[in-house]
Amino acid sequence: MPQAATLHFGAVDYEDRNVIEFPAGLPGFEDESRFVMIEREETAPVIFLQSLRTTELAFLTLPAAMVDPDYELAATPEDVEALGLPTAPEVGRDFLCLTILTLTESEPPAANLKAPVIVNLHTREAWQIISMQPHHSARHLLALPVTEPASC
Amino acid sequence: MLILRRRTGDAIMIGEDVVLEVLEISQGKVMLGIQAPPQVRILRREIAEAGAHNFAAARAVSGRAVESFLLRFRRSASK
Repeated sequence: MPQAATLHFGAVDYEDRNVIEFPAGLPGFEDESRFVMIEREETAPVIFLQSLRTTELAFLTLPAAMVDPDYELAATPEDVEALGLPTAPEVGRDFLCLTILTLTESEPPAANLKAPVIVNLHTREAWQIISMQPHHSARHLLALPVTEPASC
Repeated sequence: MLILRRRTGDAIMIGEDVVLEVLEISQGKVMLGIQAPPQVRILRREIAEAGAHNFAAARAVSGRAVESFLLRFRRSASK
C-alpha cells in the first residue's frame, strides 16, 4: 500500500481509490493537483485533503451537508459539464461535496460554502467550483459551543 | 471605476494588448471574448477569491487550532 507523508498524521498508508486529481489545479495552488482524502475514526467526519506533492499542504474539509443540512449546490452549466457527473447525481454515490475549513486561533472556525470541492467518485477527479447561490458564504461560521465545558 | 456602455460586437482595449469583446448579451448574461498575451492571467473574480480563501485556509492550519477545533467539534457532534 502506498504511503503519504502527511502534515497532521505523519506517514499514512492510503489506498489509490482515495487519491483525487484536480485537472485544473486548486485555485491559489495551481501546481497542486493530487491530493489524498484521509478520513480517520478519531477525527471523523472531517476529511483531510493532503497534498501528495507537498507535505506541509493539507486542508481540513467537511461534507457540505454537515455544515448546513439544507445546503443545495447550484453550479453553472459549464461546471456541471466539467464535472462529468451522471444525470441526477447523488451525494455519496456519485460525488462528494466538501467545504474547506479555515481554522485559526484568533477567529471562529469557518467553512467555505461559496466554493465547495466537488469530487466525482467515478473518475476521482475534483473541481473547486463556485456556488451560484448568493447566500452561500465563503466564511460560513460553524455552529460550535463557544466555551469549553469545565469537565466532561 | 470607469464605466462604459458597449453593444454586442463592440470591444474595449486594456493597455496595449488586451482586448475585451462583447460577443453576446441575452437574459441578463453577457458573453465576453478576451484576447491577451499568454502571461496575462485571466480568472473569474470568484475563482481568484476562492484562491485567496484556500491560501488562508492552508496557512491557518496550525496544530493547536486544529486540535482545539476537533475537540470542540466532536464534543458538539456527540451531543
